[in-house]
Amino acid sequence: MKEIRIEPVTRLEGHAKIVIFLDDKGNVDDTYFQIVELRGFEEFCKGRPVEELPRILTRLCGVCPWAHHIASAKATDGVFGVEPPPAGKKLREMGYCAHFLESHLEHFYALGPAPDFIVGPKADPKKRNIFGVIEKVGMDIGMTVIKNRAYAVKIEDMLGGKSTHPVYAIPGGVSHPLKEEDRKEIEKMAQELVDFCCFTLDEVVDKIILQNKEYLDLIMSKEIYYHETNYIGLVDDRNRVNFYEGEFRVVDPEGKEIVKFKPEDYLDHIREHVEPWSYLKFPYLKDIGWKGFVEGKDSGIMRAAPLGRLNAADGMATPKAQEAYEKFFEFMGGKPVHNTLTFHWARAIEALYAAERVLELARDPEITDPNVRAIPHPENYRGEGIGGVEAPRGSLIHHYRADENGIVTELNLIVATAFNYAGMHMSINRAAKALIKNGKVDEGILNMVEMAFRAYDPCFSCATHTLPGTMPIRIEIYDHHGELLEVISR
Amino acid sequence: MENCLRSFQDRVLVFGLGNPILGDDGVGIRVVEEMKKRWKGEGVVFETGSVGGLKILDVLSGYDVVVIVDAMAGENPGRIHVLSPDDLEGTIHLTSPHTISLRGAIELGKKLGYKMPEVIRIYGIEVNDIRWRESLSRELEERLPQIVDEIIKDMGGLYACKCEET
Repeated sequence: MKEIRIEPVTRLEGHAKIVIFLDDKGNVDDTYFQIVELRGFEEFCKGRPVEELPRILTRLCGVCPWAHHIASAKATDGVFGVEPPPAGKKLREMGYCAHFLESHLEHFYALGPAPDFIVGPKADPKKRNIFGVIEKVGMDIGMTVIKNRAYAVKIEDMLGGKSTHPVYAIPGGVSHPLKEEDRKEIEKMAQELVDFCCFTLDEVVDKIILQNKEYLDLIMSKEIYYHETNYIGLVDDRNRVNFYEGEFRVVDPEGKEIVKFKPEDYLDHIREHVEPWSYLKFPYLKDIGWKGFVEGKDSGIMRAAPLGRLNAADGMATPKAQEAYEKFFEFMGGKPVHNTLTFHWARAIEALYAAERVLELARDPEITDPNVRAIPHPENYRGEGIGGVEAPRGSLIHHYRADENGIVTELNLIVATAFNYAGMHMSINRAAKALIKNGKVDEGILNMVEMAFRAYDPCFSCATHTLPGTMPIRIEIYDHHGELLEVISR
Repeated sequence: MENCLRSFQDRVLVFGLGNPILGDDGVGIRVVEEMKKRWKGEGVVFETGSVGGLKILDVLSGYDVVVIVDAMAGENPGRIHVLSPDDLEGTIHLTSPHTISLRGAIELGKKLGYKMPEVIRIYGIEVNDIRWRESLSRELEERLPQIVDEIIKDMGGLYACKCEET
């Protein structure tokens, strides 16, 4: 048996490797997608004042700090029994939508679909990056991408104090109100972001990707990138996508609602399965149960993040995003959509929603209200709180317990990437089986296997920073005696 | 002054990278904090952060000289590696699943016409004890003054001359 290993090496949030076992004929026998996390964060948090967690949790990850910041603030609202005033909630949501924009745009243009589809999935890996994208689309568009990403970062910075690790949301609201001059600046940037996100959908998704038959065939391929699963996402009271608040809605592979529940009730509906070969757990629907890595409505596996959210919702809460949502499902032939590579398209639609929502909030007369925080009162103290949000990479739940002095005694996190872990595992398996035949493996084929999980924009292996530069990807090929035949480094 | 890396008219950033609650991973931050305490003059900006990818571009652009201090995985805790962006050439085309490399960010800045530093010096400090903890390992904590001294010395005039002037 031959073993192929795709191993990104990093040292912070943990690392992941893909191991593909081939049978004697050189076809794929099985695959494993292992995640090795740095454990012990819960222990690190115990014994600390619970109000410090929204600030500490941002250090858990350099890629999703705002998601942890907001989920944590909501959990501490619960611990202190305090409800933020409207302006406090809206400002949290505004900063959070700016974070979605930064995250989604960076993934779209620098890492995910743009390098794979603008440059080409089998193109020279030296060109399959943001430099190759700029070469293809031109410097002007490259500059526009960077400028708009910078707008999103600036909004995060203006609200959060600092963009990467915000010090903004606190129990009961946010730390400071929005000044009128800042509101005006945000409104102006948000308008440009809306235009840019429309451009992304019209010019990149539609004209460059969907109108290329080779790419479209890949996207539509049921053999390589396709799973009929359940989907989960947070929705508002009209079942529209919401990143900040609402109820988690789960739909089956036919789009029928299975359950809708408040984040506070997550333990009644979500359980986590453990496999001996990975540290990260696999969340599943409790009522259906864990049935292994299988798809279909009899499996408890759900997929989350952009495609999961669009499938789980009935629409988007802003007009242009709603238009894009309708076009997406019409083009794909109905709802839900099961094609894994359409995570990218869904991500672009969500970026448009985030931009429209920032603009909407910037024009809301209440947004500059100085009353941005409700002060917690001891008589309302509950000692337990659950914060549920949608992170760019999926549903995210923080659950805290604190003693009578407000000191953390218990902490449970179900992180966004975990909700898609089972989906990613199955996607790699299917892509590997479809693409690797008779022992023939080359860089282009392995990139297409990686595309199966890159669509989910996983963040387990994203370092807060790395030196020297980034995570190398090592591919090791072993023969059936366990002897190393070849090493490919990229 | 002849040993100075650059003229003091330049905008100089000394940037400590790391995660301050991840044990020895935060050594770059601790080193730069110590350097800041010892810096008596003006003209050098000392900053710390836990950033990567395109955010590095935001941090570095606008400066003439940038010194980065960061942890790097190794077997000899405290051992210092002096690197330049050229040493990271091999990583320019690599991307992690979510972000671009340091070298990639520098090159991207240049390509897009940002004012990128003319001089970038990187100090990588080997660490092998990374876990959730606010402090450095005892071994690295004890070596910290020596590490700071060595980096200051290597930086030559950029830092030492200013100390002498004040």
